[in-house]
Amino acid sequence: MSLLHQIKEKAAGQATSNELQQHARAVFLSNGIPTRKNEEWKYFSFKPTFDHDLTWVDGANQQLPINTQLHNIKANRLVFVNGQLDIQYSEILDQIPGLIVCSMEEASALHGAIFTQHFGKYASIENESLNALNTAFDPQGSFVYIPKGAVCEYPFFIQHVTTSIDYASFSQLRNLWIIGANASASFIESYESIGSNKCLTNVVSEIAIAENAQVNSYKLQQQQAVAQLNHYTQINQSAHSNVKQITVSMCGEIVRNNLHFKLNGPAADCMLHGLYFTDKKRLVDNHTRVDHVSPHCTSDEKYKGILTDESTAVFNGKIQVHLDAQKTAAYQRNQNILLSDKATINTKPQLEIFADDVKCTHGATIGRLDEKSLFYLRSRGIPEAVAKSMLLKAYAKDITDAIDEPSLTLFIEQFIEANI
Amino acid sequence: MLSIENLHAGIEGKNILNGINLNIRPGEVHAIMGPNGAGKSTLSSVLAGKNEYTVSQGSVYFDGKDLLEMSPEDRAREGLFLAFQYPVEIPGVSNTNFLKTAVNEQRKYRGLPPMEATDFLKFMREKMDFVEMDKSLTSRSLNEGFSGGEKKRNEIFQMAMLAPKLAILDETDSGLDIDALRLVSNGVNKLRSKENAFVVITHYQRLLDYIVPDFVHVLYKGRIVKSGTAELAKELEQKGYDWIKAELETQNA
Repeated sequence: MSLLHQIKEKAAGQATSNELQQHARAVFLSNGIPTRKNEEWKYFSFKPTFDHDLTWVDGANQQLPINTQLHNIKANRLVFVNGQLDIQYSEILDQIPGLIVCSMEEASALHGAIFTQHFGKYASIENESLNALNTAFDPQGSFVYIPKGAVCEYPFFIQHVTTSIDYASFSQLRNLWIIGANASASFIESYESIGSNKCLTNVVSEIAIAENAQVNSYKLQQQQAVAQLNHYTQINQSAHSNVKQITVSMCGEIVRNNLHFKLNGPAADCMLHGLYFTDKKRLVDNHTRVDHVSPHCTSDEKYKGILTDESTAVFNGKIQVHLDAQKTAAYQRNQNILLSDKATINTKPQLEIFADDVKCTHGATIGRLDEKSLFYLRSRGIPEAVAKSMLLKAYAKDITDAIDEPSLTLFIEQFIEANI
Repeated sequence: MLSIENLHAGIEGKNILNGINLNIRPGEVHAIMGPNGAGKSTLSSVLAGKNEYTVSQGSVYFDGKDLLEMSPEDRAREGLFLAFQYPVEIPGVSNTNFLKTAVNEQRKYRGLPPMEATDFLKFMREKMDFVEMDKSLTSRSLNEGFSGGEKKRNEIFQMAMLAPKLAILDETDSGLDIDALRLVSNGVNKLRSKENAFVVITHYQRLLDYIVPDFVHVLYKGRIVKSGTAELAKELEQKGYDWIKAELETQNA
């Protein structure tokens, strides 16, 4: 049975009294899966995957060996398998009064007031059919509430593992993080998969950041070659808040990121950086959008790609400067290195500026590895493969160096060494 | 050590070298001079293995091994070094990390274990003093933001670190002020030994006051048209290249 058919049956079979879910179901059923006719989905569609025979999984029916490679990082760690919290691998180190770190189920059961106040309030479902699908059923995933003024010593490490060991699978994940005023916190997310059958994971993250809060957020996408990932992230920032978001896409058959920032208060700053590595016939699509709603905000966007074989990458960066957002400073760059003649990059900056006193720049570059630099290194006795990986690490360095977690930087550098 | 026979080479179908013959033995310093466009830089590029040049005829043997068959990295690991006329800037690769990789890759090729970090740093400091290199340069990205003189000094520093059998200096002197020139020359002179050899490619005789060559060759239209001792360089400085061109034309007539 096709996945789409299963979803419809599930919706019909599990009646809900939750208004948001009812609305989301209606939106999803009327809009369907976006096809390539939709401008935002110009280069691929998940439609064929939804027509495929994928089994909807939630939770894990067996104990699985979890990849603990990054567990050396001392962190408040939550490990989820198909959206279900695995207590064995999870631990909370920070003891802060009022801090809540738990699963979505627990949050809605035990912290209903906060949960309802924030859940579904940030990520739009109206023109986002896959968000509507995600919102249409009970959410599974991580919930983090950081109270006002809390300074978290350890990062929140959220590891999401999806499985497709015995059969092709579909799963949905949700993250809701609420950061109080003047608080500061770091997040590390890792998306992984186990199993060699096809799988699709549909993720929605909502991150609400109150005044003057500081957040660093690092996202690693390192799923198996057969895995597809759709990740929609909405980050809303209040005045004087500061966010650093770095997305590293390392693997998977298809990765689609929608990263939306809304700068809602004056002097909010965001940095959105990304690195993507594609090979074989894989595809990584980064759609970003920054809404400058308030004056004096800064957005600093930089995405860098390394593409080989017959792979494809898409970068679509939209910056919208609203009428009142005077003194906006928005920078956007997309750089690409193509290591093969058959790799494709589609890059498109989109600036819509309605204010008249702003500073905005954008630029895209596409190139190869610099032959002169390569020859220089080789002429000193460094073998070609080593020289290439040195140059690629150097190319990625301004992004990897922006990560304030040395073991994560090292992990990404080792990935470059081993895989490219 | 190096034996070039009847070497013809060019780029994009254009012949630049038209039959070079040159023999270099250990302990010797050869200077190659010549007017612009004579093929000086092409010769150094072909020897180092730049792939945009094609060799159409002739052979080059380095210690009995066919040099032209080797990859650029193997040439380096066999003991060939080219000091670039225009060293590239590589942002994001630190000078130290680059040198450590180069030194250890060469050691690996020779079956030696990699150098311990502390030994390496000590070794590096020694060689830095040797070319009077500013310590701050090593922690920076390779050649990034270096002045012309600093880049050339960095080339000599790398040469000191890698201790090649044969070093080719491609116009290392051009653009240097007299102090930098002295430093670079001192570096080379201190490295001279019975076991190694140098090819100094230059436009100006000035450098040869500091690095006194055993042989001077004049390259013109892709050939060595005249060879002599250090005296020849002085003659060229006084008279320019026109007398050689004239001499050649009479010969041909």
